[in-house]
Amino acid sequence: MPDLEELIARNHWLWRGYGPQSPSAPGLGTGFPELDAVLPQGGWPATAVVDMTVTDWGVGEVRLLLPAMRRVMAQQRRVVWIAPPYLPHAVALHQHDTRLELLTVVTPGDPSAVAWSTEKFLQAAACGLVVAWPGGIPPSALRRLQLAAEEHSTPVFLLRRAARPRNATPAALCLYLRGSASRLFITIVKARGGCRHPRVTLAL
Amino acid sequence: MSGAPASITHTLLLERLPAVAAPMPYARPPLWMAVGFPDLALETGARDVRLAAISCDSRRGLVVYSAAQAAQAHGIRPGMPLTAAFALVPELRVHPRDPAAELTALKHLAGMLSRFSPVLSLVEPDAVLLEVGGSLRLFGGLDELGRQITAALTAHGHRHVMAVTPTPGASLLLAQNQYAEVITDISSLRTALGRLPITVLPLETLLKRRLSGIGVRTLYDLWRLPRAGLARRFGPELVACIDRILGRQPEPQRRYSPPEHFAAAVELSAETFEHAVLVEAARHLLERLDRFLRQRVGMLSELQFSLFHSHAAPPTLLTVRMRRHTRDVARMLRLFAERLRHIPLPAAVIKVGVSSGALHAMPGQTDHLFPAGEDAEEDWSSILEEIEARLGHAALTQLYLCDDHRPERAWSHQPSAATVGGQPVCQRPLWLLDTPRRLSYCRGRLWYASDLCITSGPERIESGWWDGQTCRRDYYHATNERGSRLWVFHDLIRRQWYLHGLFG
Repeated sequence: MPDLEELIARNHWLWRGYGPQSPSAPGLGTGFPELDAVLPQGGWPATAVVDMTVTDWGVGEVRLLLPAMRRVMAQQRRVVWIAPPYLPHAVALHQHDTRLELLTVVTPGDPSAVAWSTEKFLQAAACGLVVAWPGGIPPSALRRLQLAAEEHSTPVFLLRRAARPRNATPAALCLYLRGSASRLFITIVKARGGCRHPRVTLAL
Repeated sequence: MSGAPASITHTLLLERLPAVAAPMPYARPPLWMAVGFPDLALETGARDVRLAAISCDSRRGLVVYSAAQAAQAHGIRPGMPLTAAFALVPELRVHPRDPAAELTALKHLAGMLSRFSPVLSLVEPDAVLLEVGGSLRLFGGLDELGRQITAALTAHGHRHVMAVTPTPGASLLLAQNQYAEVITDISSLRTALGRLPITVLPLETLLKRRLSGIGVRTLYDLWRLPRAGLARRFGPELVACIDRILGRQPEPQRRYSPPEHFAAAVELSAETFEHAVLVEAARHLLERLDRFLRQRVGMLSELQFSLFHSHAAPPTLLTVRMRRHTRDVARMLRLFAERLRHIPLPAAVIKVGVSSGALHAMPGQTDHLFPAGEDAEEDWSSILEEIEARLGHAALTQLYLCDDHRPERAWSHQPSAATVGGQPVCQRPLWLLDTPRRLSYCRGRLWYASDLCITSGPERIESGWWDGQTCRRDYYHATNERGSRLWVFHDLIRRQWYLHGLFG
């Protein structure tokens, strides 16, 4: 129906019911075309919290984020990892073309400081991306982070290990990651702006 | 010569003089300003006392060294024996002279004057000498310079006398004898000084008495005597003194550089545990530090706060370190407040002190057309400081590569001196375990959360025989049934299987 396409293109008050509702700020490319295709902004939301639930560490949760990190580092902006569950291995990061001088690793002693330091880093203009492993984070703190991410236009990725995804979350995007032998199954639990295909399988 | 006025005006003549001499492109004649503080001993020893005097030892016992205006009105004069002074004014409050405190005060004043000229020397006990010829253009002439110096010194409550001449000796002569004079032209120096009595000369009293014995009362009388005869009768010292005053002989000055660190303290009105009060006191101190840094064009990277407790308890020390040199006192205050929150106070605080670490020169600033780079860096380091202040120094780490084949030694938190050579060909895992975890067997198969399945390998790593940390391992990639990709090794020395990393 060319007439309808034309109408939709011309009038901003017309939109497709099953498509992304507000193509707002362009997203940060994930580096995986299959994933970019289904995310509402064509990539990771650039100014929001992405809440990721992982069944087990090691299924590919970091490899999923590496292309976005490389993209941020290419703009000379810094990446911060807060409270990673293991030691980040410099050699492997180097093999993945990550610029180590732009990566800062923070290991706060107590878990309550994770949300605080995440928010602090969001205030820094030089900081382009934050990945945090918060363990349990109360919804109020998550809402605060979501607001801070919007205010400072910096994406935040929260990675938690759990068997089931969180039901209600203030995060803009909520993903559930499961691994199998060499594949990563991504379920889009929630995406602000709607989503057509809630499941993606990546071969990492 | 005979046309010189008979009396000397004891007023500052700055207003009547031409502002700046015509700019000289090559050699600028120096212009020395001497600032004398005639009441320095009184101001340091007995401030706020009306009938006060400062005493000092002399051959005749204790004598008055300096007396307050009110005491002078009662007839007390410097040099008078103390007994005579007490006979005149029984309620006179006398303090012994403290030369060390005077020197400290003089250094403080010199520090304050250092913003008017970089060439500065202390003339003990009570004067500061500045070369102001180079400062005229910046301050818009001698008038304006004099006005600003007067304003700065009056604000601190110091009586002072300024004299400006082309030679340091003449300036000092005038200022220390309380003649506020401005003589910018060296050719008129002789005439202008001629009116002064010879008692002002910095010479031995005996020599001056011998001079007055032959009828020499003023410097003008001295100028008229033949030089060779003077040298023969009174020794070379007198001639040398005259030459220095008139600028015929150079008189090098020892240059004084104000101290390159800052220390100050503030007493609290009452003992307190209140953080708000302590932060307020620190803010007060840091405002002074800000002025100090501006004067010195300096920056800091370390500050030490001392919180003094009463009852002779040792002070609580609190060090604030900045990642970069900075002049931003607001940031220092934020860091202090953050550190204070995490430090236990053993007792109530009665006094807060601060001292700076080494001062660093502020580099010249270049404004960017697009304000991004430098500001962002500055902002970044300020965030890191705040994180460090709360979480501790060890919480922030940076990763570096090291030249070693053992995976646990192939990286570090410190940059390594050795250049990193070849990197391993085989893929390394993104996560490394602190210490390798021993794997168990379940039904005859390796087990970690579920059965393990080796997907590739082995990669032999055999290294470290030279430093006692020998490792001989075969590394394999493995997956378990839950989808985790693992990095396991078979220790060939212990004959055990271990998990060493996850592929993330």
